[in-house]
Amino acid sequence: MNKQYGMRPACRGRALALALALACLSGVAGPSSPAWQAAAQTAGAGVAAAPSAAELLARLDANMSFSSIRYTGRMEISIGGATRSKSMTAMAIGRDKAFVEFTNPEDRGTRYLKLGQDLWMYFPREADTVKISGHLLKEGMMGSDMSYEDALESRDYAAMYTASVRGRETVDGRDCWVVELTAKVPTAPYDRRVIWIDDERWISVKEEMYARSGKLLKTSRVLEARRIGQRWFPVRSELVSALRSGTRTVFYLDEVELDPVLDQRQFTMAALTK
Amino acid sequence: MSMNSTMSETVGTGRESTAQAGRRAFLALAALALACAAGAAQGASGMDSGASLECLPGATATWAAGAEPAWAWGSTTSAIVDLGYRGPGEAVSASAGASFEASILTGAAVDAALSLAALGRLPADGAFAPSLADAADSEVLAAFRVRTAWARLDWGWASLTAGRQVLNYGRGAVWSPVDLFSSLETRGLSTTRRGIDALRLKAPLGATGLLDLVAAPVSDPRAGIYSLRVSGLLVPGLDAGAVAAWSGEDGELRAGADFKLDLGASFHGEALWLHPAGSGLAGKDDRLRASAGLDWSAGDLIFLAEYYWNGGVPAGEDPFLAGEHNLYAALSWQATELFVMSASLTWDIVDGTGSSQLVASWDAAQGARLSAWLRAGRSQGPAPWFAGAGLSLSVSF
Repeated sequence: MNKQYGMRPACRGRALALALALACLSGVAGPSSPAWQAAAQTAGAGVAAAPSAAELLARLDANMSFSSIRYTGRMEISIGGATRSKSMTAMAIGRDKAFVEFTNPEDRGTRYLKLGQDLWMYFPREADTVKISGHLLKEGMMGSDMSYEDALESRDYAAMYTASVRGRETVDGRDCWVVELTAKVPTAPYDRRVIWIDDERWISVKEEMYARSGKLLKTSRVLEARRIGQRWFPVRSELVSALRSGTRTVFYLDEVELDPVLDQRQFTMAALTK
Repeated sequence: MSMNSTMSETVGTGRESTAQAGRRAFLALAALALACAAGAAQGASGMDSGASLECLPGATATWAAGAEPAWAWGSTTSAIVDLGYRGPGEAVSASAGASFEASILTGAAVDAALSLAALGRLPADGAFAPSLADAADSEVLAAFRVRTAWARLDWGWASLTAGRQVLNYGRGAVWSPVDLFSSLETRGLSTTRRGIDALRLKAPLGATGLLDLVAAPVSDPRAGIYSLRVSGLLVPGLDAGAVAAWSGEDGELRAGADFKLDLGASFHGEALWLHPAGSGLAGKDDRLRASAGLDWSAGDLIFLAEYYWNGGVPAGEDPFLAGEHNLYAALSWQATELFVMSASLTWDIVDGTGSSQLVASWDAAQGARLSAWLRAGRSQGPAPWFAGAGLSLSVSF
């Protein structure tokens, strides 16, 4: 007799999908770091031959930051030889407000609302609203190390990490600056991150996340970027857990609308439970 | 809890006549069509549909101490079809939804349905073929019910929903005293809520709060339940709600409160006070029902525990049929990305009855889940011990 409750087992798959969708939103929407933005402004419009880490991150943030976003997307989660697909519609305003609704048959109508650091899930068949917080935020899901904590991350790297430029490397045929972030506060989700920044398209084509022990935890990679308006935007990304073999998640953004006018009432508990 | 009861509750049955159920189905379709028409009048429309199929074959044995077990076999196969519509609307939008369930019961599941009907414990929202009165010797029983059928108008600052809908006020996993409306029932290996016929006005209170007015007038408005609930995020980490209601059928004023608090582990609690206030109820005592629980996880393990006090009434008078003091505990383990095992125990502390369940669940394919279950326990009656095993296959489309 198990009511679907919190992180009950049957919902972990949903939880993964929600967290990945949320992570995608939090990764693309929101104002850039003020500290790095300021550094970029002092550096002028162009990037010098040897730019500082702050300048690189500010340019990256400027390209990847939008006041709002709306998209339809899907995830293909490969686990061993099996693949599970999740589809969704999502929207967000800044970093603090996001709304995702899943449309694949087994999760149809399952929604999630993020307001700041608060996160709720809604299961329509039971009209069940579940707050995701506390111990549940640390849950790793479906073979990846993606957690709700990851998804709620503010991306305010300047507040959490010290950045340094490690040099230039080529990733998937793209010339990139390699920037290393080292945690300076204990609340940082990872002790170290390495980001490969494509300084032509100003997207992060690859990122590695490390534990305090130095162990690689996971790697994300942009598989395809599309020009939307004046900027390049990742529309196909991959997340691979380094801790478990045979798992891989590919996130597709099928239709993306940047800076749409969104109704603030969509980001309320009333909208979540409709 | 025996497998028999599980099977019967899975069906969602009632002693209503086929004609009554047919009228309800017609009303449901009419409500859906009306909302579709309202939305279409405003511009583009969006229809949505889905379906799921679940099959639960199983066997159970019951016995008294020192006696040979009596075996029974049976199955329940259910199909659920969900329809939804969302209108585009600017200032006002319309939406509607309906969910229909058809089931086939065989063997022990038929016997269980008949047993519950004899006890008056079958919810009155289903129809049977053959009728329950004629099903005594039947090995197969077909059942149908309208799970939900509602239409909604949304003005942004408020929404009005009319029809059969699920109202979930509880935070408990098994026992939710403040769940005034939609009863919790076992369905397969989990639980579900039964829809009720109601009119609901819902308005946001800020981003995280809700004001909820519900009228569930049933056939006689004087016998209905009318409630007001306010809920929301009080401070970071603390969700809470308060509800006040009048139950005409019971002549009771009801007031309740609930919360969920996150302190690393999550704690939840609910309490409902029932005050007899109707005519002819003078001298009846006030009652209180309460529950409390916590959930916590470590790695791939999730633990949940819950306690329920029914206020000291006999189990037959309790809405959950629970004894005075009850415990529930569950532990689940995500063994691999696609395989989960869970164990649970429901225990009536006072009379020592309860059931334990072990479920292994495999995400077999996209939209398909296969589970195997074992259940054992002790109930009241001449053959109190029971044990059972079975499978569950569910597919979503």
